[in-house]
Amino acid sequence: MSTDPSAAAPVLLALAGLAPSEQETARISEAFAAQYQAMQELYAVADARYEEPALIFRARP
Amino acid sequence: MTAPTTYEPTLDGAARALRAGTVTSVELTRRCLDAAEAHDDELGVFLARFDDRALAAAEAADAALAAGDDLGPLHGIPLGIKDIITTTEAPTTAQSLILDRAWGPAIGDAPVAARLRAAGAVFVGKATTMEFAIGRPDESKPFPIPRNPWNPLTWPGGSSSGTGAGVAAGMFLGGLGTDTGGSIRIPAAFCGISGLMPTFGRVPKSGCVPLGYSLDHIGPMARAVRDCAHMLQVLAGHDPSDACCADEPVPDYGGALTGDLTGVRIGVDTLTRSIATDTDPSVPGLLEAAVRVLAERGADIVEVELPYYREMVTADMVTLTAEAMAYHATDLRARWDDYFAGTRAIVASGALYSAADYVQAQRVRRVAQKALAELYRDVDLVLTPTCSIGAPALDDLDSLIGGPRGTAMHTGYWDSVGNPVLSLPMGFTADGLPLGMQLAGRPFDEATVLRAGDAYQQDTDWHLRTPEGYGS
Repeated sequence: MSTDPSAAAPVLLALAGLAPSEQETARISEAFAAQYQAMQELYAVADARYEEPALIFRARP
Repeated sequence: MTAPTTYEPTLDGAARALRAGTVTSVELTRRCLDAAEAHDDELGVFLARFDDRALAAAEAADAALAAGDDLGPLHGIPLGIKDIITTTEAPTTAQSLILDRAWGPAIGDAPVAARLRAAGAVFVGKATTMEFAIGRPDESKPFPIPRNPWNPLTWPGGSSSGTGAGVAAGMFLGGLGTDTGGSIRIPAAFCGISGLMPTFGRVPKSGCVPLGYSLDHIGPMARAVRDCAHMLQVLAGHDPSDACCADEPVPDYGGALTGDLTGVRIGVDTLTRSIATDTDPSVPGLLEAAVRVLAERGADIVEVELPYYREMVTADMVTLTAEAMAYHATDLRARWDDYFAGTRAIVASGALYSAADYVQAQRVRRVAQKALAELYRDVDLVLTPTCSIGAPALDDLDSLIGGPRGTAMHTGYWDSVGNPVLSLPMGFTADGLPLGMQLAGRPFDEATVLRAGDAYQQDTDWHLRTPEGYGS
């Protein structure tokens, strides 16, 4: 099984119900390869190990 | 040809002239409408103009001022509103075929528009944007292409493109922009004006088409920092319609503009250590000169390095695209071809991140906020370039937006952490294109940011320069 993010991108776009052209899919997939690597760096931030996310939720709407 | 003004060509200068009786609101408004009539076909600033209503509002402002009913510095001042913010004058379009034209009228004035109107401002029109405040211009769609008055072959920046170009070209004296990854500060830098991204939550964002729910900021754009202070005074403050809006006291921003920076400690980060990027040869020298001006005004200068720089740029993009994808998913599935090509490509990338990726981005945002708070124990402000390049050619945007030159825009970091940031002009490239610098402060300390920016502008005139053939 491929772990190449640019190979996964077309599948993920299709799963999301999106229908870009072949050319657009190629561009989005190519860009995602770099974006994926940058995203992995966020998991490497040691100080985030016990950090809470910056999300808002209130019991009263 | 419009006669030269007898007052400083800023919102503040016009406000003072109004009170001195040397100009009327009707004259200010006509001057803006004349500039729009002369240049809007070329510059693509407006999606809608409200000439008759603006002139009627200006007449009412003049009458009120004559009767001694003075609502403050915005009274009778012509403003432009980015067309992702609702007003009662016209449907909001977000420069898109997609947005339901009934959405804006159902809201009426967004809280920010209502506050400006209550302060006596005159709305001359709705300004162009990138579709839904993201992407790039698309000639295949029936909307104007925004152009930069400093060189109409170049981009005015985005996404608050029309507000930036319109201020620079004298079509209004100030306006509203929004900032999710740099959309106030990039056009401010490229158009040679000032623009303030307030602290996240300082200004209510309800009535604004969302891009990134946890990143969106509404803020002022105008020639002078003092103008931005006048606008923020009216815009800031809690509103329960926005769950993110903070119930924080609003200080006297005008009173903070003392010109004196004694005791203010400014950390300078040129960002050359954090990221490899194109840099215009003029940038290093202009930054050094700007630092000297601030030091001469009393500031202490130290070198700093922003913590988690690359991570916050990534967090901005992950968060923005994921939140935008949630908003747009249904329409993207049904009407892909109706979106601008640049908009749909960026928003669709939000479908590629996992839910865990999104949450991890929010965890690292907290980490970076805490590290930055530590840095701000030692300094009051951080100074960086806004962009390392001048406005790019409109036919070269692929390399900038989502391309390799994108790292030349140093704005996304601050959206991720939420601090207030001002972009103000610091000079020009050899080709005559404006360059800007950023001053960033502690959360909710816009007063110090504005104080430093105004002190700089008391000794420089970059913000008063106008592109040849446009403006005052």
